[in-house]
Amino acid sequence: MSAPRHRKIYIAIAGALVAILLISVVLVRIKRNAEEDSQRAADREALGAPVVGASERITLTVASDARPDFHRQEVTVALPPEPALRAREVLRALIHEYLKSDSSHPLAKGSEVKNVYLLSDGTAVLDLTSALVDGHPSGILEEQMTIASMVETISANVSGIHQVKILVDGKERETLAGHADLTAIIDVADVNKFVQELK
Amino acid sequence: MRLTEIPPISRRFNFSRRVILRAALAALPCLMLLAPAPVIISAAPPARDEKRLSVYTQRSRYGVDIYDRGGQEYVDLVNLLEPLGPVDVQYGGTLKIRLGGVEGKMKEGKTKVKIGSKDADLAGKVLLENGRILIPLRGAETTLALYTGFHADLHYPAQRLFLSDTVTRYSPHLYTADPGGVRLDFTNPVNPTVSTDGNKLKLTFTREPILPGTENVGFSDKVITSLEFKENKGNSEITVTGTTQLIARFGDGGKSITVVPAQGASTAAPTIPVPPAPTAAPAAVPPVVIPAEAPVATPIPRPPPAQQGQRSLILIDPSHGGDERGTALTDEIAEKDVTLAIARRLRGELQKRNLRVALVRDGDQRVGLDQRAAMANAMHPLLYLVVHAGGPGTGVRIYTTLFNGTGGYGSFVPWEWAQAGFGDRSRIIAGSILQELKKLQVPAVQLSVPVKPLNNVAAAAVVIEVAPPESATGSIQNATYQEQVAQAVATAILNSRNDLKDKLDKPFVETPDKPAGKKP
Repeated sequence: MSAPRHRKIYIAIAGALVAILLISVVLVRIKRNAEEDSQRAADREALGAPVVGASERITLTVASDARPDFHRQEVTVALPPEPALRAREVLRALIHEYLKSDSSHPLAKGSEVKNVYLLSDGTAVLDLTSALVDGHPSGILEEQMTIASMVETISANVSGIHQVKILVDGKERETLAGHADLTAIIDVADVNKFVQELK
Repeated sequence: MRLTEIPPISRRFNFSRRVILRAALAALPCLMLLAPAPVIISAAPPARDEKRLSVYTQRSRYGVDIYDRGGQEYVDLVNLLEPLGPVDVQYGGTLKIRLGGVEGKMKEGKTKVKIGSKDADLAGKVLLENGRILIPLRGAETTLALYTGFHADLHYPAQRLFLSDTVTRYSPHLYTADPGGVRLDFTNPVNPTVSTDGNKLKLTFTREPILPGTENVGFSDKVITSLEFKENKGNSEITVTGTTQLIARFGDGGKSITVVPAQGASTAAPTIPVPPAPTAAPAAVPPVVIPAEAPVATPIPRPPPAQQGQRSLILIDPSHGGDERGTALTDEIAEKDVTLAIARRLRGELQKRNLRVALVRDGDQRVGLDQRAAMANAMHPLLYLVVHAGGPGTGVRIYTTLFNGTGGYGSFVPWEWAQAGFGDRSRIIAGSILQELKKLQVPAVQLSVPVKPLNNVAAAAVVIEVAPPESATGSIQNATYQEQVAQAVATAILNSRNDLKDKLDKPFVETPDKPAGKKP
């Protein structure tokens, strides 16, 4: 094989390697951008459309990790008349408290209630964002306190709710963060009992 | 030089256009194949260091992670000692590590240590990393020997360490009569994994401390030509090579394996009979329908089977394990390590009270939630006790299921409601644990919650979640506190054992009063 021919092969290989490198960089950047877009889209979706309604004073059941226990807190929020939207806004007000920098029971950034569906048998189906679940601190009590505060708050402010089912991004999850069972339907009476037991 | 004067690349390098075209065409498939690689690599999880030391004791075999530090292999001293008994560590200028009545003293950066009354050289420096005491792997042999008083034998390249002459040896006996074969007689029952590759049959021992009674053997036989022993990466293998396909038959309660030619070996794959697994005794509970995905392929520890008519086993489940670390209690302390430490202390306390105990995991391995429940249901324990650890708050939380029922469902129990008939029994134990903890001034509360996998267990089932004794999270590792909790729980179990047994004698006639936690 002649020397020029060797040179041609080397150049071809070098060219191929440079091309691979460039394509790699481009693909990695595309992947990152797609992930960021997806997160942004999820965040946008979580925010949902603004609601219109009269301002009302509601009572939240707020978890506190320090003791640990729950305390009642009154807030004023705009609530629409439609029960499912009202339930969603009530829970958003609760989660807003948990997202504050001085929260007594901090939740991860991006935690939100996407939707609430009310069934005719008194079951409220809560659809949470994956950010809430994925970033939730792991531990039996911490997970149960999050669930209990949501169940207590929604049942206290929206009439006719006897049971709650929790979904994450519209799908069933086994646990909240490794402990609390999300496959079961949660009975409001059981949660009332849990809150009393913890006092 | 003006731009217009730059000659074409083909002319500068004396290429013809055809050569460039060919090179480009040749490079294209390579590009197409390699282009997705960075994305795949970026998405792949980081590789784990898989090196583990297998330690064989008279009672059990356990694994300890091996770490590379500066080209030398190290093991975590506490992980090495904990399976042998409660370990107490005192940090300071001199590290004091106590196992039973023996105290070891060592200093970070020093090779010389004192264990009991004897000085030893660990063949490398002691390291202190985020509260972990690392000792050289080569020093593990001396360390274990001095702590336990038993003879220790480290097979360094194979990552195996034998304590107290705990070995199972084998001897081969060749059959020359038709059809021929070789019988391996073991000094203890064995249960290896059997695989074949052409005319080779391989027995892989992951749990048994196998060592050869006879080294590698070559046979001038028409069927069996050689027998080779190899140990590597904490396991051992016996490879039997023949002139035809081979199968293995187990006999003598697992103490002998006969390797013989497979019948019709040229056309059919050999079928390998395995010794019958010891079956759990049918106890006074209905069988549980286990979901198909429950017993997955992940290897899980095999606890001892329940004995006929003797529902007295306490099954302790240290939660989490392996890559599932649980709560990060601090930057260094993972929940999985604390739960295992507490579970081992509890095992010791229960054994002191002459109670039968088994652990779901006695090492750092991942066990799925359904696997844990399936294991509990197969063993029919008197009590299934799950140990969790973590905040918020202080003290101990005792959880039972939301089910209130005392009865059963007849022949089969739905997986989701397996706990339905055991709610009352679970609460008896939980109440007893609460009382004992309060006697010891440990803050405690009893709660009813839906926690995985309690609802899937057909036995009295309780979860304890151990929070630190004080606000500093790291205090959860305080040996005195862990021991206090273990003692209280063990006493409570002992005290309420008879109440549970009385309830077990009653027939299952009622139905659960409320299917709490029901499926949608």
